[in-house]
Amino acid sequence: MVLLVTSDNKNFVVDREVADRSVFVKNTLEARGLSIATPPMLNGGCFELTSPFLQVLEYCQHHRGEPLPTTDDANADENRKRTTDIGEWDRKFITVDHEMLFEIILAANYLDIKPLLDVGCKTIGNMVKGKSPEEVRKLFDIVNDFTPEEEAQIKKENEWAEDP
Amino acid sequence: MKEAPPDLQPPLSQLLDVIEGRLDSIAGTLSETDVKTAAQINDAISRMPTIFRRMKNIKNRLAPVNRIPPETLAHVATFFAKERDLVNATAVCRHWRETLLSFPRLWRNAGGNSPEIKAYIERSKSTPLDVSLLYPSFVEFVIPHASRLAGLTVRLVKSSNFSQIAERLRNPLPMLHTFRVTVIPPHPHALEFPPDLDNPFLSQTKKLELRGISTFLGPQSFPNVTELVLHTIRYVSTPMDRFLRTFEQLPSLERVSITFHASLYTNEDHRVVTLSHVQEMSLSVFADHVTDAHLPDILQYLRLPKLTSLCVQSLPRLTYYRPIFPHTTFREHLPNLAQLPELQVNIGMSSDEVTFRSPSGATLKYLAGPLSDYESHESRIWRQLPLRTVRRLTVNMGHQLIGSEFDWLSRLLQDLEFLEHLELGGECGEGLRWLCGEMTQDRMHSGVETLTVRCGEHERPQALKLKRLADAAGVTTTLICASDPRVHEEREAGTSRGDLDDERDEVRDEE
Repeated sequence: MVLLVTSDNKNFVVDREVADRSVFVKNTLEARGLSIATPPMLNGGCFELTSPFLQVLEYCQHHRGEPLPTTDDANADENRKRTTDIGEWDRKFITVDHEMLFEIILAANYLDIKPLLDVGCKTIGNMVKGKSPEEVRKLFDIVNDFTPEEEAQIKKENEWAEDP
Repeated sequence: MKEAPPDLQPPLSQLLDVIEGRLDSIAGTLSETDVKTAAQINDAISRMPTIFRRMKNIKNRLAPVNRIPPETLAHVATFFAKERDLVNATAVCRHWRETLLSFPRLWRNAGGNSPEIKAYIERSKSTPLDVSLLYPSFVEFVIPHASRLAGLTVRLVKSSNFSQIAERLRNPLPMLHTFRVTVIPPHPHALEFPPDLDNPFLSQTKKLELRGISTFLGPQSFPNVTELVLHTIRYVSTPMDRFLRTFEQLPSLERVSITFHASLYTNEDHRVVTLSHVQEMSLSVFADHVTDAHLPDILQYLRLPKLTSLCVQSLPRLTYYRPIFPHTTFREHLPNLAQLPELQVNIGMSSDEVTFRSPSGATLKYLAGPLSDYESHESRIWRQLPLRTVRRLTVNMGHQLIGSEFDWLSRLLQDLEFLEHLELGGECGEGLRWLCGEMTQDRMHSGVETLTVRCGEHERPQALKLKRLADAAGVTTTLICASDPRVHEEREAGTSRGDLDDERDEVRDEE
């Protein structure tokens, strides 16, 4: 068993097999020979870990024992067209509001849980699928901050991608 | 918590109030000859677009989606289904545009019409390129970048199309790893003869992908090819072993993936084909009521001494008419797949999957339509598989499980004579009831030592019943109840200890 302490001082006792889904935690434990891992600061500020961390633990619990992706897998990813399919359980798991989705992605990125990061990124990729720039802005509460000149230039550059 | 930014002094709204008040005041005292005021207003109007843009830019930086780091946004872009999504994403906002254009690898797959292919090549900067040529004449765009060409796809309507490309690419391409040929339309008779691929520019190729070509390569040799993908080989007109024999021209071949229609022709000479270096093989076979009668047994003639991974996808019709392993003796033909102690079954899903594994990484995967009819056609397949070597079985249940699939599982359990560990998971409400029935009727082998059940909260009562039965049968049982949102809420509102494994304790407590 491993004790994980989040930066907001919540304790989580989990099986080593579950903790090892995070390459960050695995390496930290192996390097220090300890059974306690404390995720440190993120992006200069404390990461509000408890809520996304519960979700991340649930993911790790469900996928415990599965083979971890290797460096070879990552290289292969670079060379092939990626699939956007998400497994049934993962799809249900990642059906959360935008705020939580981004939190989970940040946590997966930070804790180095590549399969979870992929699930989160695929979900955003699927949201963007087939949408115009304006529709994407609306989806993610973004505003158009290009100058009219820049916008005209982008439109010209991307003419070849317009619908025939 | 993140340190809050210092309060805006004075607040923006106060500044805007001041501006509006000043405008009211100016409007009330306006004279037509007030040149100074006109200059001030002109100056303010000219600065407004910049101020607006900066405010919008700051708003975008605060948008939740833009909290994810640039490299992660680029990672998201790798999952866009179409190239157009990537292009559209560069027009969303300044941050997205700058981020996506600063990752040249996102633009490495160049294809489409001529402005598109040129734009991608330019944006990919110096990264290795993977280019798909819509027309042979587009090869001109590639020539200046030949030194970084890692992948090349050509679409052929006739064989002379290939000659046009080959004439312009005369020298070896030092980085070329993957070469793909797609015949349009993918029909065997579309080409008057197969293209002559024995060309210097292909000499370094490691991976060959051929789609829609009816015959393989003829007498050509590719000493460096390690991976071969043959897709939609519409009809194999020669006996199967002769077809497979052409693979011997690839002395370094390690991975093979073939999707093909079965041959009408029977095999007479039965010559063995040995592919000494092949480690991974994937076969997808189409057969129908005609080819079934003559379908040679694919693996009967193959000797694959180094094979460690075999994936077979027999499309539904095949499973009705012809098994895939009828004469295969695993020990003799596929020695690395003769001992596979772990078996995972995904059942009740849109496409069921059976995977045998060994700790050393050897894998035998069988993909099928629903696995329900164990007794008839499937049984012939299953008798050939290394069932007696299985020690651990994991069953993941989907929500489409039907009664006959439970019969299939029951028969499977009976065939796994040396099973020691059983794990059940997924949408397993019905599965728990089924396993209780197996326990009650004493149909599980006495050798089963451990049972692990992963279920949801609402399945806990059934899981506890199963645990009682298993305990009575001397089977050590572990229940892992995955948390549902309600459990999370309780934890967050209550204790500071958020240990998922508490659940096991809870289960024990209830006991």
